[in-house]
Amino acid sequence: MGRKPKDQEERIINRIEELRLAAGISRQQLADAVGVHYQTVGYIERGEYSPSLVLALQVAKVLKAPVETIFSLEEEEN
Amino acid sequence: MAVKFRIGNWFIVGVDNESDKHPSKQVDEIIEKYEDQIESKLKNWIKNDRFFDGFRNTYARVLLFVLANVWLYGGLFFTYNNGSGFWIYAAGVALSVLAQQISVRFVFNTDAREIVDEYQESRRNRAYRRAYRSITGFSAGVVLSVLFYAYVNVYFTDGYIPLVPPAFIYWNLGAYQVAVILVFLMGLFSLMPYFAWGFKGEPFRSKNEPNE
Repeated sequence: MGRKPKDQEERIINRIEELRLAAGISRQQLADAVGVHYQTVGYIERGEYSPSLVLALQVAKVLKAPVETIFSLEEEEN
Repeated sequence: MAVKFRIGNWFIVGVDNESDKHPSKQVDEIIEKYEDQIESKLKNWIKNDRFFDGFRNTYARVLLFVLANVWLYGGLFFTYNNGSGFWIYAAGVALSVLAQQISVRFVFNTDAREIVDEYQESRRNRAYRRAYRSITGFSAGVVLSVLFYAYVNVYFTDGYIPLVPPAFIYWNLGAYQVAVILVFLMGLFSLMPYFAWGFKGEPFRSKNEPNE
């Protein structure tokens, strides 16, 4: 009953940093474009925070890539 | 219509007599404009400040946590028992709260979307939940401790353990002690959300990729 333990929760991985660098956008520029703090972009890039759907779509729009290309569930081992 | 002089927070404004607008309306507009500018500058400073980055990394957050607790509890003990140093204790508590506010970019002081983004909001909500649990735990602990003290007191005075808790507990407090305890409680309840925020601070800026 209730939520899964933290270590069993599905993690979301993303390619923001890769696509951002390819687009030549700094973390600060991306943060300004989507209206969040620049550190928040860092937390998202490192997978420490999963963004809301709205923020994910905004990031996808700025990076000019489909959202499913940027974000995906971490594939289970085995 | 323009600001002619500025003395501290006071503005002496000139109004346009040719304008259709009433002078008081013009003054209102000037004041509103300056309020917006100040508010915008303040929000921008809170969001992008780098001057106090030393308060915001994980090491700093651990240090601030330790210092705040040492000051809060240690200060309570010494100030309460010594009968002096109230203002130093109160100022220290206020400084601890201010340092914590700076270290989390004032996320507990505002709801403005320009300052608090969704990550900070979600972390803040979690901190509030944790703080609430801590406060209820702390309150229960205090009540149980007082009851325990009362029972033990009766046992050693009268030699038995009463079924019903003693009706009265005498605790002689002067105005000074009450003031010290109030400062402690205000400090504790103010600091709880910051303690519950967690130690993880803002990451250091990347050397390879500056944020600006």
